[in-house]
Amino acid sequence: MLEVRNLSKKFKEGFHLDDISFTLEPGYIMGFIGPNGSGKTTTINLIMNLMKRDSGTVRIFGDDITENEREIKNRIGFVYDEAHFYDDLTLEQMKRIIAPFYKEWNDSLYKDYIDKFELDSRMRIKKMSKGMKTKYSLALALSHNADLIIMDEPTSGLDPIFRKEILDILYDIIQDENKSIFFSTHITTDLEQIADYITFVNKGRMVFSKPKDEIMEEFKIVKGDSRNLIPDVRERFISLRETGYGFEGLTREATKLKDMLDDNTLVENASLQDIMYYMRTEG
Amino acid sequence: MGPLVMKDIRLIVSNRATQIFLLLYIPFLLIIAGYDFRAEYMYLVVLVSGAYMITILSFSYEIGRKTNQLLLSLPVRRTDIVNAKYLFVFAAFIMSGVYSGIYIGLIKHFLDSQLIAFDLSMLRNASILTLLFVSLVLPLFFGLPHKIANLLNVFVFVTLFQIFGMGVGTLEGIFASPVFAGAGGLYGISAGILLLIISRQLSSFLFARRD
Repeated sequence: MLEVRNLSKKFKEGFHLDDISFTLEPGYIMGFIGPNGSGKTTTINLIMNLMKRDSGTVRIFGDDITENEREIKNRIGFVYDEAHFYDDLTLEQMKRIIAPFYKEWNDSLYKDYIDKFELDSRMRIKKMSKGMKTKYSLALALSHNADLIIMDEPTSGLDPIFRKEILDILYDIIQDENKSIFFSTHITTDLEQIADYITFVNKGRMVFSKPKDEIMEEFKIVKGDSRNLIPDVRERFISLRETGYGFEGLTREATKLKDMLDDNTLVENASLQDIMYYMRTEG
Repeated sequence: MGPLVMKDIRLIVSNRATQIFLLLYIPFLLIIAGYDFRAEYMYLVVLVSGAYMITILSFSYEIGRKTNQLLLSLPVRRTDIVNAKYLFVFAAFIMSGVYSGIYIGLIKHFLDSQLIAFDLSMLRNASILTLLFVSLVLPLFFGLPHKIANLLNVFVFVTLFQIFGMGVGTLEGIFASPVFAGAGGLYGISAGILLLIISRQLSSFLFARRD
């Protein structure tokens, strides 16, 4: 469905996206995570051919995006982190501009989403809040029977109730095993609920791209007394945080550490947020 | 490409800045030119300014507000966007001609029946001037950062008005020259279209390399 290989892009300002590779198969949701400025939006822009890549390939539905752009984008629903609509237009006017570009535009589906998201078609875009714009972007992206949904921070600026509704909609979409969803987010709890795969980028480099369950199995948080932190223990942590009360760290070697440390040591499952936090120096 | 041209036409009637421009630019030009300016050139000035600004305003708005990013995410190729913008020049010329014709017709009817005449040679000269200046400006917006393109656009527009301001005698000389009037205007129109094609090629080249 989506295959990114050795994608690289260098900017004059100094940022360098380097050698990003991952694959998303049909029927799955991939979460794309990383701190601010890590290269998530750049990667998405390169996937969508909104920017020119320096090297690497992006294949969507088996074709290179640069060679078959119109047909590929006809099957993609795209949601921006910041929607660049025409501010003076109403939602209905904007829809009349967007809809003719898509072969499979479904107007009744669009109206269903507008009602579901409680949007007013007569409202001007400049009067909409960020959350409303995101809802509108989603309504547009979901109304042409796209096979691949690509979203850049779709849940930022939304209240928790609507975020949950969006996740439910995405979950419904993915029940069709021919469709896939790729989305970046800072809100990693959203991904823990629905993502099948996680791709993590940091400082323009890829840290990992793996099934979520494998990640949850692999990474653990270990908490204990700082006096136990002998060099042999320290080197088994990816990253450590020490306070006056003890230490807390992320590791791939939880079983081994459990044997090395005393009985007061705690081993917990790491959340995606923990993994992002402790691996922020990676990449 | 049809939806892209339609998009520009819809934006002309929906965009507040363009609406204000359309409402005010004809009285503004009439006041600036005064009644000394010969009637047929007044319509030419109004028509060329209108077509030029209709083309550039919506484009500048798109680039400035990054709405072109939205367009690029749609099922279109960059070359489609370039081609549509050049096709829109003709639509803008017709829209400007009809709009300013009605506007000026109303002014003539209610205010001064001697003000502003219309003839076909004026229409030909206006189309050549429009093609010339739009051909100069569009590659700037496709290839350069928005602020620089806007600045250069101002220079081009001022140059256009310098030509209008050269006086009736000089303008008559220019419009009677072979470039404009040769073979009944065929040379001028052909040169204008050729320039537009070269400009389109340049825009396409620049836009394909732009992030």
